[in-house]
Amino acid sequence: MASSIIKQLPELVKEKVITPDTAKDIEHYYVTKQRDNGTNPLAIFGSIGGILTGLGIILLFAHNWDNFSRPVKTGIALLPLILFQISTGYALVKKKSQVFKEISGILLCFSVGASIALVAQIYNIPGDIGSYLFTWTLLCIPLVYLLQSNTIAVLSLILSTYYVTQTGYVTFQSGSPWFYVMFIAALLPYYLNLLKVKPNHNATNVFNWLLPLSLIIAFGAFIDGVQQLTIILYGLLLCIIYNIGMLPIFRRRWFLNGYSQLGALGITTLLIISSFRLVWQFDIAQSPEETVYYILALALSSISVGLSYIAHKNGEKLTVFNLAALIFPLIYFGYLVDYNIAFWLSNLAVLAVGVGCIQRGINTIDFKILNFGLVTITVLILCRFFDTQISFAVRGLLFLALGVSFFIGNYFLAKKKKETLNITNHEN
Amino acid sequence: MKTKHLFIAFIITAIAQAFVPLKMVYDSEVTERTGTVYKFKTAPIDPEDPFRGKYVRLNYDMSSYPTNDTTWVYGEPVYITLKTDKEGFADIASISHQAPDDGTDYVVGNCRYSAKDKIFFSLEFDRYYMEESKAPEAETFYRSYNQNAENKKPAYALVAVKDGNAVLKDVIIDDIPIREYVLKERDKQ
Repeated sequence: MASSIIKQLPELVKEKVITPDTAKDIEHYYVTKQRDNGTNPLAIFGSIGGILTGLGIILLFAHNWDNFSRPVKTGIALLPLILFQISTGYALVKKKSQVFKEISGILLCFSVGASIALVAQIYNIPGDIGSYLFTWTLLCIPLVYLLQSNTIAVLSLILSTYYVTQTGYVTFQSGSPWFYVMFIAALLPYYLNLLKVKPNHNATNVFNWLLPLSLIIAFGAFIDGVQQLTIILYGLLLCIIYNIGMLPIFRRRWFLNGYSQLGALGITTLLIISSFRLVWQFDIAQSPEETVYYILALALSSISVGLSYIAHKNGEKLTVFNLAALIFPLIYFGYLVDYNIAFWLSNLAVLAVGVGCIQRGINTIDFKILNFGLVTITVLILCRFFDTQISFAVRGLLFLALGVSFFIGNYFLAKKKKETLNITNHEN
Repeated sequence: MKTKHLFIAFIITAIAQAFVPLKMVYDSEVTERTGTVYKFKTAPIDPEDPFRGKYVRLNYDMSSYPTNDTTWVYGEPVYITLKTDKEGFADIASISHQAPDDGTDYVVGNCRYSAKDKIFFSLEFDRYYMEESKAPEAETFYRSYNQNAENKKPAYALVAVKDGNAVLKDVIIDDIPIREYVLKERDKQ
């Protein structure tokens, strides 16, 4: 958009709509803004090039060139590391451009991983991927701060997440997932600074999606052995993530707010899962869950309610997803009394999400929210076909009704949008 | 932060980054050069690691030991003191919860599970990295070698052991290193 405005400037000056000085100011504004957004093509493609080259080095090493002697292979393993350490040191001392630092840092980051991998390969050193990723991530995180590198910060976040999936889900090393918390804690100051200084930067936007995604992936590694409470704990985590997205700092276009999108989608998915009788029917818990998990649920719920309150105070209109922080515990209490209560409550909650979204979609004239609500109700009905005996005639009628409601809902919203636009034009 | 301080911090990071692979090289070299070499009976199978490439995973015969000790738990390190049997292969002298401090050679295993009168464990040095085309062939050739009743010689791994550190030097099939064995079998085909 900026480039099209800049292109029109000479014409506007020629037609004397704006003065040449204003044209210069506008051009300067967009150029600076673009730089601040991190849309500098050299930085983006340089980083992508760095990542691809780094991955290429690792894959080339992984081939295992057994024609070379061991000392030669060890030399090759350490060469990129030393080379990129020198170039990064040079970039730091000579205060080279951020692009230089970024690319050199990315290559150093990958050569750290490659050197450890190749030495392990040469000497057949035991160790699973988890321990390898741990060392690699640990040695890369300092570079984030030393080089102020966004790409290394994102890479470190990805490595940390990979690490937690390996140790938490694949090899079940007891205690190990906790190092993930350490990695995130180490990266958090950098991210918070990005939010403060460059809230609209590309890297900040990437983080706004990847961090909540990483937390969602990692959370399961910490609640090993929990039975029915898993859904509740996960639900409450998603409530927090959704509520973080409602804070004033994240007030931005929907596709730039990963917290709200992942939170809403996650809450709906979990409610749909818990709307199956099967989930609650079998009391697979041999004994009550450990007390620590009940305390965790209480803490997560309280944080979520607190965040909703802050959002409300800042003028945000609360949605059905804000209420989910209370709905999930309610479902669990229902389960403790009778599993049928949990089943019905979950179904009602999905229905509430669907209806709530349809209503909000209509009120805010937002097709995405309206259709999300309609899809939610459709999925709920589809799911109920699996565990209830409903005649074909009723199913047919239900689907007809749903299909018609899609048409009607979207038609009326389109009409409403048109009317609103007409009124605005008329007023102008 | 001043450039000088930044550079010092970078040098510390760089040293740590270089220290890890160099320490790995040093430990392995010392164990290989000065450690005692044992032969562990084994069978190779082929998996792959996304970063380190393809390797043959070694299924060691040494994987259990009779014991009445019921305190072993999953994942606990098992310190295995070694001896050599009549045929010259590595054998278990004893197992312990702690590393022996009398200078005898030992390797570290990982407790898998313990039955009534037996403990089952895996040995740490179970990956032998090979060139990516050779690793799957190694498994195939070994399987046909093993199925042939005339082949009485067991496959074994040469492992250098020193102070609990074990370095897998080579895998031997039919008296030759696995890499050469693969090349020999390739020529036959």
